[in-house]
Amino acid sequence: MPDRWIRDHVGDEASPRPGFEEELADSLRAAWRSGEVAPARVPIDAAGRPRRRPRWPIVAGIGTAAALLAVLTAVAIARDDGSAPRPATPSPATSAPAPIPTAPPDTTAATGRPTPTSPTTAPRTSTTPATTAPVASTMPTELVPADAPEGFYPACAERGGVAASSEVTAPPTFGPLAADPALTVLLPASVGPVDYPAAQRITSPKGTATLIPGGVLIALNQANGDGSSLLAAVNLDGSVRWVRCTAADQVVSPYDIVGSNAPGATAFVRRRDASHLGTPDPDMVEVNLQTGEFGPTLAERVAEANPWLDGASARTLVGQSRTHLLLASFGVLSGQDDVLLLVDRTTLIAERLPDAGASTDNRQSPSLDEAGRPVLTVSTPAGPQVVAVYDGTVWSADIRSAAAPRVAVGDDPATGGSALSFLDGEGGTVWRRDDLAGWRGEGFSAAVAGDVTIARVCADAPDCSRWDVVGLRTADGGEIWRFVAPDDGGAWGVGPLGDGFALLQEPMGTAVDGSSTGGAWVMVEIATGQVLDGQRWEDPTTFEAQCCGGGEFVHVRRNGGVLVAVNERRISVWFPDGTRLAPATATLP
Amino acid sequence: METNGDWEVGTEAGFIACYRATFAEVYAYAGMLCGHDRDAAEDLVHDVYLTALHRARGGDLSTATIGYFITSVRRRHIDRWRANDRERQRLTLVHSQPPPDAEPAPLPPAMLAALTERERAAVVLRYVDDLPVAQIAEQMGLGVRAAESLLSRAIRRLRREEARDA
Repeated sequence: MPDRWIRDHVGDEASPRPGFEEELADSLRAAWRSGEVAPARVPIDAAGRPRRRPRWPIVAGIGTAAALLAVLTAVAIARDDGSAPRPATPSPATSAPAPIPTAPPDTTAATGRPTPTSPTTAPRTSTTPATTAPVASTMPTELVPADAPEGFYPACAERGGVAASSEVTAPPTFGPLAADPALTVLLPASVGPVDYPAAQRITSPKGTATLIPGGVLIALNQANGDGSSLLAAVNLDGSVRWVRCTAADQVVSPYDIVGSNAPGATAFVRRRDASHLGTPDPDMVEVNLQTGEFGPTLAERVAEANPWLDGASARTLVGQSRTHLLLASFGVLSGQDDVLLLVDRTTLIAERLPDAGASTDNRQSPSLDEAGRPVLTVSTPAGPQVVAVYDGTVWSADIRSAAAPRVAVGDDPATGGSALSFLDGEGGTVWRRDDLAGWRGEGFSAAVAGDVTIARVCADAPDCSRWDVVGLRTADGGEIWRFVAPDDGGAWGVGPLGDGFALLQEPMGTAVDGSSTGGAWVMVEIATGQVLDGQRWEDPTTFEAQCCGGGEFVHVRRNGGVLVAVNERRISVWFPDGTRLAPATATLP
Repeated sequence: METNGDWEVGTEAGFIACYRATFAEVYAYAGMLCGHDRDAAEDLVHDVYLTALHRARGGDLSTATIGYFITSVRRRHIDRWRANDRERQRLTLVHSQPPPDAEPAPLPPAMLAALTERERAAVVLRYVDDLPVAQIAEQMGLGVRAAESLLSRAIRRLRREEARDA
């Protein structure tokens, strides 16, 4: 939204009172000459209430103000201690509200809500979790000097020579998690150019991480987008296998593991020359997971394994499944000399797919569907729509088996919100809930999880200060369960989900002392909305994922049944409940 | 003396010249944050320049830019808002009165100033400062989704009023 739009809503409040500029100029001159400058203070009125700061000069009366502040504080503390009259209105909540089960859905047709076809199950609230609340872990707390040089702090230092300590890999399915992370890695700070104010230039690095056999592969980039990067492999027992420090003009992030899923395997990392940010896609460079040494690019490896390609090259990874990668010349087909390669992840043996007959007009994007089949999609207002599927021989327009159903959130002026629609694979509307306004911003909106569709919905349209999370029957949109936001505002959130389970986050609020409360994470069985006993983490940052730019610093990646959570200067690796791994901590570099 | 937007503020004359050159924009920004509370905007601007003067006179600040003052206004406003919030809640306990900002004021025609303090701060940070929601949340001490909701609510109100006027 352009700045101008907002400025159109500004009235005379942006113009100073006549004479104020001169008054302040006089005050500043007087202050400069007197040599006395008033420190910041909390203005107090005679009755002990905060009041407007008096205009300059304000040197006099500091002692009085301090004394009054002390008195006010003492009074407030004494009254908070129990002697105060009880407030007529409830004090702000200081604990997170428990999820509130909804009544069975309204089965009347008056509101247009679909009639449930079977009895519904409300979520069972878990007010007394079986375990004590585990807190994720601490962040690094060392102070970064204001004059720290640009780069990482502490500075990146290469090391190596430590072998993989185990061959543990991720179980394939997601479900209940251990109470504590198996591995916590504390990260260095990122220090930006020295001409920024310290508060802006000292931040967390941009971190990415993925599970590798026996550990985690981590890439850290500078927060300001260029400068040196750090690549490291850390074993699950906390030992650091190796650390690589890249040249200052390269940006690196791990992409995924290609090749045998065993110790000694290689991964490919995305490496982009920071001096050529206009490159359509960075190269994917092989890295040896045992030593950290870089090798050829993925395109070079594929060419080596497929000499028949005779120079036809595709370097852009546009899709991946458990068994295959899909490489393309570009992310969108151009219709001229497009190369599409379906590559076996283990052997790198490639199959060149036939020309799809695309043109620059229809902007078809190649990818792999959930079953691992190559598909072409086009962008529509309701989301990507599959238009062709590769059946093993030719591109087919029969997309019924390839296109996945999805939930669309569209404008609905009648409710002031955005009604939820469920579309089949071909884009046809299966059901529509005009009474539910979905979330249209960045972040989680809705997801189809088998028989249940999960969605964030506005609870008080059109203001939408409260956001519930609902479980709807995928078949007809009937409501199965709902987690209700508190009356005074707040929002339930949705984290990683899959294989019948989802992590939900309770609404957050502000306590009387200004601190945040709530925001705990709970594991929920998607079919019933039931919170699982013992699956509760009080720390709101545990599985946090941010949007709108923050995702580069705070996000969660699911590797099968393992979550790798990057949060500012901490990475935590969460294995399923029952995994026998002693919690370990490592510090980079 | 000014070079590429950097004002040398190590002398009285330099500081006052910088003040003269930046005042209008700094005040306008403070005014947007404070809405109809003109006293608060004046306090804010007053504090920011005074603090800068203190630093300049002490040798800690030799040059300043418009960005420096805008950033100072933003931080100081949010700090004050958060402190006031805490204070207000404590006073609510003492005096058994509802918080004055509990209900948004009726919105006059499409005016940013009539949003609640929180809504206005979020809107200014997002659409004037172009900060991502995550940073707004951090600066305002909110969760990201709370900040998203706040922004969403504020924009809906503005748009609704705008549509009504139209």
